[in-house]
Amino acid sequence: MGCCFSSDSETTDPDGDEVKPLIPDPNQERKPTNGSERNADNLPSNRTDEQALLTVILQRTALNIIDVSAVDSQGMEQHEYMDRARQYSTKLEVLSRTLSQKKPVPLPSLTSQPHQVLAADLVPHADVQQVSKIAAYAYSAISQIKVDAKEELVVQFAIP
Amino acid sequence: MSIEYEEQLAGSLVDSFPKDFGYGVENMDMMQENLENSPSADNKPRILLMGLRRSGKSSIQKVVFHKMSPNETLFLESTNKIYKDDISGSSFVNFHIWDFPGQVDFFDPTFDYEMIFRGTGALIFVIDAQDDYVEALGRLHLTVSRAFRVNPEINFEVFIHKVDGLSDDHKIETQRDIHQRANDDLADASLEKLHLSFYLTSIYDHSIFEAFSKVVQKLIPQLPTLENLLNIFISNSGIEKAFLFDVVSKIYIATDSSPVDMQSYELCCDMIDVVIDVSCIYGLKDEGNGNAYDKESLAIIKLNNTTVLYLKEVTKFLALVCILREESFERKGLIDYNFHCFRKAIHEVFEVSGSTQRMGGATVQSSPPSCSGNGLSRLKSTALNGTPRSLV
Repeated sequence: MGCCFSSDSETTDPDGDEVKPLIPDPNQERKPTNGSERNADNLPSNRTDEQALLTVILQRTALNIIDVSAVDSQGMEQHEYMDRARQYSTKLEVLSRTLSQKKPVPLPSLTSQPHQVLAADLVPHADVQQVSKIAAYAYSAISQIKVDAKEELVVQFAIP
Repeated sequence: MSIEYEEQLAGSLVDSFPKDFGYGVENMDMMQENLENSPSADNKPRILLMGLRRSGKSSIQKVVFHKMSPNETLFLESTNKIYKDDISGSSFVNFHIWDFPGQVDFFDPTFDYEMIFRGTGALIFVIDAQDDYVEALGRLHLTVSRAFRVNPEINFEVFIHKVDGLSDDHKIETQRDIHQRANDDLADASLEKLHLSFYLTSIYDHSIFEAFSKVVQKLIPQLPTLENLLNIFISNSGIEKAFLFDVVSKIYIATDSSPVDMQSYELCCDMIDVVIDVSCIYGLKDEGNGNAYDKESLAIIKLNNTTVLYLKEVTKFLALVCILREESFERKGLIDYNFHCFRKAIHEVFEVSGSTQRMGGATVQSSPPSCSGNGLSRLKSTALNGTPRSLV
């Protein structure tokens, strides 16, 4: 920062950056500044940069990692629990009323009241075809099951 | 029996003499090897395994990096030439391991020890604790003093090896004695700045892996960041202990800041062995190509003492092994999310180091694991030998 200010007092920052490597004049007062900058280009600068990067990695990791022991302490108050339960129940009731309109009609039961079965609409032909196709697929898949015998996983170690 | 042994020893000495002291030929060979390896050798630090003959250097190298059974090391022949092992293709440990013959003579003018020590990151000196170690200590002093003059940055590690046959009191006494004598020698030579680290090791238990882990960790510049990431991960996930393992060698390159107890470490090592073995049996694809360990590798082992071991892949060569309570594991979903954040951070850390290295940062010693065909095949062959060791 001090170096920057001293540069600003004489020339603008970009001009200073351009001039410094071109004319390292030993007669001027900026000789120690040039020396320190030359030192910055040396090994300690690489080490400092590497150390800074490693510190950033450490800090970011510490920030991202979740404290496992803190999970238990996030309990809810009893009244808050009851409030949320009522809130969720209300929402579910609203949804259930909405969804009931779209619910498909189940197949009629054959165990009682045969007159209702006879009076109901016929099962669509497309549904019958779909069920038949699914059954055919299942039968085909089951018939293709084969046992592929390989070497035994458990063998007796015998000394030759 | 003893006479026969002496004859074999004499034969071994006679056989190894020409290679050890073939001045012109040996020097030429070494120079050629150096020229050939100079591009890659400059980038990868070196770990030297040194010590007297029959101290166990090659056994350590075989057991840690090539999954040799400790019992098979009894049949290893004496190393008569510097054995260079580039394990970076099959392991996260991106180093060269050099296994030195015990009879290398540093006073030989044709031996260019300066070249060797200049590029070395760690020097491991192996001392046989079951033997009379006075000669070994003399050699240790000569080796480390010479290496320190060439390269003071070397980490000097002393493995007090073959301690499996010693009682606990004898181990402590041996370590204390070696520690005292070695440091006294250094003080006499005005080498107080030379620091030695000592480890009690044996290839028949996990101590050799523990010691090698410590040596390798000193050479990884990102270690503090890795440890911090592990601390963040386990403290937020209810995990008691976590290790970041190199799957091939079972060296852990980082762990959280809680203390390491050997029993937990052994459990994690055994888990890796089990995972690799089961994956080799059932996990390989029909073509047989690919690796037993890949990014989908995952294992959960629940022990009968309500402890859970949880293993997940982090990178091509690294796996995270966690130890946690069963009740903590009930939040597996959150732990998995936290692991996802951890894994992403690890990849970013290595990307930062890789980019800095590309920018000419010579200090970066560790780069992201490279993906190469040789590495893949080597990992597969190595993993196939992941048989649990049978302790005597």
